Amino acid sequence: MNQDEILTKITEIMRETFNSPTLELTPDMTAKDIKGWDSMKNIWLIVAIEEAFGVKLSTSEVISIESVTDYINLIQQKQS
Amino acid sequence: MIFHSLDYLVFLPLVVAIYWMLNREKQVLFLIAMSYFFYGYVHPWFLYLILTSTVVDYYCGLAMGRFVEHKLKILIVSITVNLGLLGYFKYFGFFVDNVAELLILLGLPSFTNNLDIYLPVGISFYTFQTMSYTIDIYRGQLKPRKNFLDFALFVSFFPQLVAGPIERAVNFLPQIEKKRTLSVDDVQSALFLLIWGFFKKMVIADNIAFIVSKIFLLENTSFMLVWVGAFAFGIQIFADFSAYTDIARGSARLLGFKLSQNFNHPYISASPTEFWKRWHISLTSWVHDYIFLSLALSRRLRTAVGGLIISLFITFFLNGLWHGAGWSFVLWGLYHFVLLLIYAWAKSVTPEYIRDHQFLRPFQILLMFILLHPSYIIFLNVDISYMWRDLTLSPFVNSEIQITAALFLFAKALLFSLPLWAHTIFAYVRERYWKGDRWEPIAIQTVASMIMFIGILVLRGDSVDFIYFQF
Repeated sequence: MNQDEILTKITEIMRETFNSPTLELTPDMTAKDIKGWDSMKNIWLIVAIEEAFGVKLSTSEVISIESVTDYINLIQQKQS
Repeated sequence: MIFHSLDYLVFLPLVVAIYWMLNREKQVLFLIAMSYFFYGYVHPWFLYLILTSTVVDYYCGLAMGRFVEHKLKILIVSITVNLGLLGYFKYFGFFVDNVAELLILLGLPSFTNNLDIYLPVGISFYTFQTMSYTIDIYRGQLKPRKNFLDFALFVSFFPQLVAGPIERAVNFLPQIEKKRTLSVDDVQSALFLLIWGFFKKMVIADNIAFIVSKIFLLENTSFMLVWVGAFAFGIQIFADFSAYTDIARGSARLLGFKLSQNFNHPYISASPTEFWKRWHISLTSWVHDYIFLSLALSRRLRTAVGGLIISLFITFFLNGLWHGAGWSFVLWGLYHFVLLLIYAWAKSVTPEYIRDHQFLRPFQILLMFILLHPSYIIFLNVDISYMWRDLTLSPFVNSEIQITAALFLFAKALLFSLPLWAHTIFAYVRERYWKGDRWEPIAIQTVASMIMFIGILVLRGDSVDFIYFQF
């Protein structure tokens, strides 16, 4: 999957997770830019991303994620 | 040594003056010596405990770097030693009490707890700080440090040793390892933090402490009095704890260190989630990173129905217990857990345009502030029967004298806390409408500092220990 495809899929997941159908995602966005991205929703997001992309993220990988780009890079790295 | 004492007013300038005459290595050694002097000032035997934590975690860190295949076992050693110290000094008496109570409940022969274990101040803070070092090494987020002195200073740095902020090795060790500088801006902001901290502690918190203790010692109380007491305690605990943080940050800044922010105007939070992002940030993020994430992402809970709820429950149970060895603290944690769940559910069923409407934010803030009051009633009442009595008082039963007393004490608490509210409202306006970085021009800071200095001289209350010293 290329970066744009991953971004499109993550956007869909985030819209559903954060109950925000109008959410438009850009790679440089962080938790601060997205309303509702809190610790609880973050766990749902991680589980949904793991299921959608067929990857497993460790606790230290999750802690190091700060932006949408970090998710994209991690997913690409895991899929390659 | 305590911050709001004459001893500290002599100690800090002396330390700062000598410190800047030394090179980096000698600065580290000097700060360790001063930190041990600060911590052992009243009870020198406290130093054995901090030294134990330091030595054990230093060698555990090194061992994890060298014997990578055994790093889980080594981490267990580190955690066992730290939690062992914490468990014995903070929780053993509580545990024995509960065993005795349980035996009575089961109708078996019981015993009286005659243990008298002295709680070393700050043990909950520095054990958590040093554990973050070994856990981060285990997780591969930090390299073990070879320089023992740098590590010893990370554990014992006096400004934040007794009541935080709980610093992470990732943020703080690099500051110890590099050459430090001091600019005019640093001195200016440090002095402002110090005077604001002393003002919050000595004028706001100490004066309001008198109101809180008066109300919660009453045998014949009423709904209005208890809620005024909770309101006053909300101000007291915030003023008291954030004052400690500000004095710690100001003192550290004079030594060229930048400590992390521990409070970010918690009373402008519109939800429990936001509150925990603004209140005691260093503990919340510790608990989030090391307990909540470890549980929620663990193999069993990640896939379990309600795994998130179980993780959250355990996290808040332990968060409550961290504050004190008593069921009231556990119940306080669980009250926040329930609030979080209710808000999460409400958020999921509320349309986005209502949830995020700007017009509603002040009302959401007010509701959140009101919902914090029961948590303070729980926190303050160590005796569960009194807690239950206070929480179930009827709003309609207040005698005339109780109403008058409640209104008088409310006005007094409000009056003493006006600077805090002004600061909070200013922060709210700045956050919503004014995104500039600098918002406290030097002229305003100078005038405010002078007013606060006079305030400390004229209005200071009877000295009370910092609340968080007992944790």
